[in-house]
Amino acid sequence: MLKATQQHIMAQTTQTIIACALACEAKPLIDAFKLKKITDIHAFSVYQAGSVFLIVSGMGQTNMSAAINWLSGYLQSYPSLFWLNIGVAGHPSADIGHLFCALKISDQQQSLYPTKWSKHKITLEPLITVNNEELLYQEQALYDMEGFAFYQSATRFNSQERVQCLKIISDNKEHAVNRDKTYISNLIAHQCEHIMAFIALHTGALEKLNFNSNAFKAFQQQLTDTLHFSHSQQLQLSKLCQSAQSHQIDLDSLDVTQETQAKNVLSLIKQQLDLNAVTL
Amino acid sequence: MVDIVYVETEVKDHPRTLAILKRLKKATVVEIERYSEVFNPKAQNFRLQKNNPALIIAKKHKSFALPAPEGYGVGSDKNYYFSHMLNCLYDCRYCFLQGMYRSAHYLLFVNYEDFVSEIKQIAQQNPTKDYWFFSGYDCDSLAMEPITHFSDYIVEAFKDIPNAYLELRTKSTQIRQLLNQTPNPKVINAFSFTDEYSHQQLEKGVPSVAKRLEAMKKLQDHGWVLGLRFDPLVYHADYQQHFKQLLEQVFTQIDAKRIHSVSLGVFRMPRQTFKNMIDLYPQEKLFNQSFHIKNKNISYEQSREDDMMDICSQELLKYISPNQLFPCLF
Repeated sequence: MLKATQQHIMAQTTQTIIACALACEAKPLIDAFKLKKITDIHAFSVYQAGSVFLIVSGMGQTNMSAAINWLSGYLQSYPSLFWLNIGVAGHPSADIGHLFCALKISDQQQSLYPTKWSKHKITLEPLITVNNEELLYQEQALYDMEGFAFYQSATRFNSQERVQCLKIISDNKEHAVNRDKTYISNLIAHQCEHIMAFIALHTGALEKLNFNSNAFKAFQQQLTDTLHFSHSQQLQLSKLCQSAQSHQIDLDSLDVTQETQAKNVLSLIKQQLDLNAVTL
Repeated sequence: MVDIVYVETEVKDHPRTLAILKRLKKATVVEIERYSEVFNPKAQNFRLQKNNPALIIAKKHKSFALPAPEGYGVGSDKNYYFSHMLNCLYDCRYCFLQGMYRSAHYLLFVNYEDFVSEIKQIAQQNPTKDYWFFSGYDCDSLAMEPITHFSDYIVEAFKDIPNAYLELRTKSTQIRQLLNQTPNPKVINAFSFTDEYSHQQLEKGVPSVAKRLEAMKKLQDHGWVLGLRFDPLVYHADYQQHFKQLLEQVFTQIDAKRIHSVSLGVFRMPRQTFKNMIDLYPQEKLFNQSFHIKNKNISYEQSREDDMMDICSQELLKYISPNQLFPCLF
């Protein structure tokens, strides 16, 4: 089951980007997805296999913001991304090891509201991001040190539906903060199945949005790489490609390889659209 | 019905908020300062949110009733619209709401009294004139009735405004509250229909034509005044035949003579809204038909639009009188 979910996620055209603050939080996920370190990246530890990336940011909001900003640049050529912050958190009363999904993320000044747009069953709870370890647990909420920075940074480059935070309880009023690496890794490892199911549910839905558009994007790219399209011609091409999807035009039937001018390519696609009138 | 309810701090103790939360016991409640924190952020995907919208309970502060667009109405020249809610339970692919708001969450304003207060002020501007107030422009008037109990309040309130008429526009069958009330002759329950084929293709979550007609018949038998809204008319190869069948179905069950008004309009859309909709659903066949631009709006080619309006009007006039028919001209 776990293996099937993992393989399913890794074959998606939507890239799953996992951000962890600590290497010990990342370890069980690296193992589960069989991720390999990208050795020519030195700014952060980044791992990848198939369509899954993982970055270890280091502790705190500044590190997390830097990691997300850097990785956003690195991954800018990918059209569809799903961002997930996974880490441990404190809570006044929740059981150790319990998995939560953040539905409100606050720092000292501001609150942000991730969208629960799928029907997942993970318990929802507010998340408060603090600068130092929380010992009082004053509010009925999760406490961490990176979630706000992660969400704020990732939603600068993506729609908020593509950005989610999952937290696993490591400490509460009865169990003091424990930074033992094995303890933390075990907490994450025990929730790997639920985490994978969460990722598969979301990337599966995102896949439906972009399966065709990726094929047409590649088609567009190929054309603009080989011929000169003015800006307005590029916009026109983009619109015609969208229409072509609706007209169910087979990309292979659009033989534009002989054309040497952008305007001829556009008129050829238009002709195909006219020949294949859309009916409801 | 909803997993999450966001509640503005200002209305968290409002009796209507408390009643709604009681009806949504299983939902997770999140307190927010202002609805704009959740509803307005730029980086939102309407299409994804539509998979599982949340409810936002808020207070509206101004502009409760606004002048309706030119050409919108059923006979009066004093037409206003108001929206106690933004966004709709249903997911109709032709609906402008998809391109209108960034968020698909249902935004409910619970200060119904402020809407009525402004409606009264508008109606008092000229007490000798009839004023029409249209509900159901930015939402379905009745679809969320089990949660909002909006019709309960608004129908009663209009009894106290002698020159004000109310249209509750809907595709819903949520009529229980109306059946428990004494019909108010100044309130028109206007049901929207597209033909069966368009319904199947484009109206996700909308009750079947048969179910809506069943609801209409119950309301008519109870004494409520009804309206019919064939808007939008959507072009497809067999639209004439399907429209004819729809009318047969409607007027077999509904007494045409007791219908207050019938309006008719082809699929049309502000150009920018249409662009937003294409961005969300680039592959949607409806959006890839042939359209032209007229006065910042898109619609079918003029000849097609004229044909559709002529043909459907002629069909309608087999059942109703010309003074019941109101073509949508905006």
